[in-house]
Amino acid sequence: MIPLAQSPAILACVIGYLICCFGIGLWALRRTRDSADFFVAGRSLGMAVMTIATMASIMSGFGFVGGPGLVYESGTSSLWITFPATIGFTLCWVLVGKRLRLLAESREILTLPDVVAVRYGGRWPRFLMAAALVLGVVGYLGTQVLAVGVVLVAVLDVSLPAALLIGLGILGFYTVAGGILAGVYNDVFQGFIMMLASAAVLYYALGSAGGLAHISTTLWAMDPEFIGPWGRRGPLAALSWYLLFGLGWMGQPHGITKFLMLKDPRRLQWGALLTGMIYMICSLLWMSIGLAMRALVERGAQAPLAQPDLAAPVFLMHYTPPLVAGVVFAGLLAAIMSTANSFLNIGAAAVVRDIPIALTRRTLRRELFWSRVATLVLLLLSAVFALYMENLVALLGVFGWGTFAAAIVPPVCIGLNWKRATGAGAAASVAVSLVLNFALELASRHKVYTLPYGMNVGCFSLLASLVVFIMVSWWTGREEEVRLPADVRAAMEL
Amino acid sequence: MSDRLTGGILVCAAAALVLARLNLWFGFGLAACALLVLSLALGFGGLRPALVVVFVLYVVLLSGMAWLGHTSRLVLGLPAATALLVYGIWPMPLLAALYYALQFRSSILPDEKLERFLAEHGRRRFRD
Repeated sequence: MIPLAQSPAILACVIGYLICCFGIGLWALRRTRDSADFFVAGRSLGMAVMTIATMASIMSGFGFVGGPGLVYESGTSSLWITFPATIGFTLCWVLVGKRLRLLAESREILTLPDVVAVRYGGRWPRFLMAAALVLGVVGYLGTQVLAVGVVLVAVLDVSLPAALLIGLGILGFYTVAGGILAGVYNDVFQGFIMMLASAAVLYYALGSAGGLAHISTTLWAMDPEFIGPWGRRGPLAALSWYLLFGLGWMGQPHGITKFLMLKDPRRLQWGALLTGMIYMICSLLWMSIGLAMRALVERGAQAPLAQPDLAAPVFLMHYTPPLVAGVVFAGLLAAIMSTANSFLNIGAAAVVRDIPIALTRRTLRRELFWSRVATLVLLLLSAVFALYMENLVALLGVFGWGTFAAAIVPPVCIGLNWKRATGAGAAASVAVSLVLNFALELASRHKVYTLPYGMNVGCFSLLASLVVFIMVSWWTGREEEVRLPADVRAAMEL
Repeated sequence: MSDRLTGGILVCAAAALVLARLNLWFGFGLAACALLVLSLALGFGGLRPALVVVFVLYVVLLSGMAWLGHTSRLVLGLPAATALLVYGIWPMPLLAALYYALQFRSSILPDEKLERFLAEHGRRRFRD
């Protein structure tokens, strides 16, 4: 049963937030004139905007709803999902940022499949990358949409379909009308709300449960594994999450496509450090709510939760003042909607631009119009998907994340830094990542086969995809290295 | 150099798969950290001293966590091993991000190299 927040302060914050999103959508509508505006914000972003927007789009409903739930359920294990952000953002900037941004100076690059096509040539790498994006977007978007529904049901006391109609109506409006421009400026607004919310929640979480030492003592008495360094899922599961999410950050299309939107490559300088630090602030909510709620339940001060995903909503309504709860609920919505907006944009680009170019070598006429139509269709499909999905939001988030990481890291992130990488290696690694992710996930759900010792499916697929990419590239020879276009070679050598 | 680093990434990735299958989690952790640091080195164009420091810190912190795993003594409000995770593993990689920022103008993207790239390959000039 989802708890209901009936406080006027919470309602006012959430409704005020939704109105601001709507207003930013209206503002961006007038500034979106072509596909470049719609997909890469006209390459107009400064460092601060890009940094906060990247953080906001990566910190999703998975972080604000699923994360505290996972901590409540399995203890510190889930910290190994959010803590890799510091190495992950650094890898993003070091391996991908400069190369992507320089290529965007020499070529008309709006999407990741554009990057793959420029780097490797041929149709297959572009087509497979676009297919991976569409499949990943469907899985990940479903979780975001479901999370929008969960939060709005709690706040507005309406049914799930009605909540989806309201939340997705506003999300749809600003995404369809203003494209990524509306998305990015909403991300900035949302990023500030998320930081404010996280700092406030840390204060109230520690206060309500008697401080960090008291929480630790209670949880250690309950189960030392829970508050130990690896959590209940054990060291191999924790470390496989660290590897997946450490390397996987640079495989998240909603994060790295922000590099294409940056106005000037020189503004990359402080981005990794700032984004990592901001993300750390937002992760405090993830960690503190889960630990505090479990400690309160163990002491009998709080009834056990019916499901782990209720940790955040129940904590906010029972242990924070209404105004703080309102800001945090707005922050929850902000986290979810900023990620969903980015995925809608990427999915629409794959459907309208990348797949048609891969199949026909031409772009669609009236690309901007069809991009808006595709965005709307994807939104509706994801709502249907969400209504019929019963699993935990967080676990589905891992599935989507793993698909992107395994499919994108080898060909894009390694491939932009290794001249010997070949199109055959890229195509093979994307294909292997898709097959492994879906086959292993399916086998695990139907209890046919589960990877032993808590090894994560996404991590396994990412490692296998890396091995395949490097070995196939070695086998398929040095000729492609010799044939690299001059601008691509220059961007890789600079 | 990039061929050697990519070879190292291949070895670490393959080793991690094998170690995971054998449930040798500490070895898996070391392979994972080596893989992350080698990936950073690939982006930096070589294994810089700062990256060696990051790898050594990873090894020290992971070893500390394995060693202190069952100690209930609290450090800054958390069990000792968990404190190494929260106050060590979490923020430590920002050292590499700081190194990137400090080296940016001198070796990552010097102005003269960027100007040359733009002059030879740029489609348009961005506004400063």
